[in-house]
Amino acid sequence: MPNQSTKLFITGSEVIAKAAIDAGCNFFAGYPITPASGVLKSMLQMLPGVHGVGIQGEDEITSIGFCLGASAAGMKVLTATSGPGISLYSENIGFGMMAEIPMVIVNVQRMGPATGGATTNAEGDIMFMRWVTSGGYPMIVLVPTTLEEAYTLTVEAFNLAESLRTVVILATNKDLAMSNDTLDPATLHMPPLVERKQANPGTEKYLPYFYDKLSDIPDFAALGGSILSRFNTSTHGKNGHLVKKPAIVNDSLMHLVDKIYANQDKIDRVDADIDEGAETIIVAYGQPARSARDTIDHARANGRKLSLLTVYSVWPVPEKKLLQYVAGHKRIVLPEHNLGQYAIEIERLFPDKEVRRINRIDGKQITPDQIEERCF
Amino acid sequence: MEEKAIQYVDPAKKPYPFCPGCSHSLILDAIDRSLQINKADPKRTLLVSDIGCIGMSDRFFDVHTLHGLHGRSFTYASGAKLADPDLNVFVLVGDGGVGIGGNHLIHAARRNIGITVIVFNNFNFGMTGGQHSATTPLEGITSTTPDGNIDNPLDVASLAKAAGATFVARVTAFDRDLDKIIAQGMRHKGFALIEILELCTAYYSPRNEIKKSDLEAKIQELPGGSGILQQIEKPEYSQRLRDFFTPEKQTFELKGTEKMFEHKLPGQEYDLILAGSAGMKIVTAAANLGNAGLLCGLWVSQQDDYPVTVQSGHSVSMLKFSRDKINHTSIDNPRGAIIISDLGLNEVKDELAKMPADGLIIAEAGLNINTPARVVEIDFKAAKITRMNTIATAMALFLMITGIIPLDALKETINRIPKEKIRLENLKAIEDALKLYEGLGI
Repeated sequence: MPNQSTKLFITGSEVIAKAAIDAGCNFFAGYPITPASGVLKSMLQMLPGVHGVGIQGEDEITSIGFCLGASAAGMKVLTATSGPGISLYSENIGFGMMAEIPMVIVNVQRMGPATGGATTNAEGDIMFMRWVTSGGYPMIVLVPTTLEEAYTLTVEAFNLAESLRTVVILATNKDLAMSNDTLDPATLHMPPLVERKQANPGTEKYLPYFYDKLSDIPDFAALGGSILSRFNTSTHGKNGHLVKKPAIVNDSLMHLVDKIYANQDKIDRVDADIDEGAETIIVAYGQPARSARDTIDHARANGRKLSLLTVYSVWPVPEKKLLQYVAGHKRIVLPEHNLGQYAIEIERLFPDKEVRRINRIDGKQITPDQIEERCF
Repeated sequence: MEEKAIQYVDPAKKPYPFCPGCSHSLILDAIDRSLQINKADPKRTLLVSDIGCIGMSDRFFDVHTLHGLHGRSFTYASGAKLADPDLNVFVLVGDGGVGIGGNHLIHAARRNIGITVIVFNNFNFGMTGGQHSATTPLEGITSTTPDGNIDNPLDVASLAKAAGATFVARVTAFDRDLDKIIAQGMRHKGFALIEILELCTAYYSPRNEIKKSDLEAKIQELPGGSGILQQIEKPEYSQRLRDFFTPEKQTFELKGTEKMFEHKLPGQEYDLILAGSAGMKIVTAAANLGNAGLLCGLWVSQQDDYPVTVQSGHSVSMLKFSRDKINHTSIDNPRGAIIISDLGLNEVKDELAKMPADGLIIAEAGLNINTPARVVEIDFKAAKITRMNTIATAMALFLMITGIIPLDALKETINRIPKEKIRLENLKAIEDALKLYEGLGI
């Protein structure tokens, strides 16, 4: 027989942990929380084998604090939590952005608000992740729908966090992270690794936050390395010293904004399955995007035209790609496992198109039939 | 030849930005001298500053610095130490930072991670306007205790001792040995805490008429008085973690399994529900059956549902078998079900009622199931099947009757279970199922 495909019954958490190790992640800290504990467990199992450090903190704030300290000291760091933990991470996410410390956070979404449903599926943190920090600076959030995508996007999350010196969230959900699903390991796609740009050890006068254009990414020097380095949570000048002068503060904050938007081409990720002549396009992310593939198959098998745009980089909104692919359609169907959080963005982008929202928050998945009913 | 002493605080950057008479300046100079005593390599030294007046200190030091959130300095310092165990890491934190981040302090001490925490205790929040802190003495006047403080003050050094800190000292900012004690704390291999009582000349000291001599009298009233209160040798945490590293670096591979058997799936997809109670190994059994499906070249997805408590309540697993890649993973049209307890039944009643007439349910005898599907009732208890093995037995029986997946595929999955005890129990379930099958006379 020719080369047979092989299959593995595995959870999203395990795939994400494996991807992190493959991406060179050598530090993990986390606090147990359903449904994200699987990532903690897998990372703590694997890290000693690659001579990396894995540790369970005494709480979420500690865990993300460990990650920030370790990343500033040169490690490639990951943490994982769920909604209540993202709440506790909030201030430190702001620190990571402000001090430009690379970090990847896996958010395994569960039902909220507050404790909500620990073992119940949801995707209700979409706006929360975007606006998670005071000041409202741009976040990068990637959302996989399958095990294969979880693998690739975990690596991409590291690439973006490292190359842009920022915090990136990989947003999954209970069903993807905790459920066994079938994976053919041969189909996994490992993108080329991109590392943070290190300062030249010969640098005479190193400025930890040096940029020429506001959108430039400052060279990184690790704490404990041969170049004295500084990280600062407060508004700071290029030398890392606290400042309050409006002109410097304005530049340093606009730098945080510009460095993300100037690199949007590197961040934007969508998959367009466009049916020429279709009047309806489903725009979806996360679990409903996966179900929508069944909707598409069913509709097309019955001779009905239907397009699907899967959004993987939900933040920042991939506006150029959305405008490009949605343009030829009359209406948009937008299924979400929340009360219509991304719909706010889609309706803003397409004021002249009919947007049909499908929302479900009872923990059950939106079905392919439910989507199809609203498509025609 | 006399080595030139390294300057850790650049005189050109001085003066410090603190109020006249504030003890912070004295202590920063003492830290500079302590680094000189230890001949610390600036490139191997990290200063982590907390929030408050003391948070403005980092810029004066020509070492690595990190200035982070209020109360969280312990966590960043620990993170850097975990990353780089030979790095000399010290924390500058006020009594405010100890109050808000006390939990981190306790756990850092308990772990004995090798960071040196220098606590600037001036009994109130200086930066925000002289509010009371966790260490404000009883009856102390602050902007938020205008009639005197009624909160019992926290004894930081005693807390650190109790939490297991391996080096604890308590001194005043005016102690002649301040630099030597800080240097000793920095040389200590485990967690070190040095609490320094000091004056806040903007708020606490004038409001409460506290002078240098009052601090010196006050410190003697505290348990253990002044000086080094605890010094113990214990393994340092960041080094100890590395003991668990494997001798050689390992690589991890995701290994799939090849198709070995032929399935007889009726149609494109087949949805199966397994429902029982917590502790009945429902989720594990479903994973075994899923793996058996993979051995037949099928695509399988499993969704589990159980309450947040693991050892009580219902446990439900739903398996979807498909000839192709699965998109939508939830089970909407089950054709098979295995129901082995009331609790499990309660969770899936709606799904069972919708099953087709050619569907099959294997059920524990006596459950009242409302369904158009065929129900095969088995008295597992009478057959002396243990509670733990009921699902594995029922599952094997289900395969024998439906034939969707050959029993050999399940056996192969079971034979791959590494733990012998579990493997043997699962094999016994298959034997028991064979006997039950014969008894059914199908």
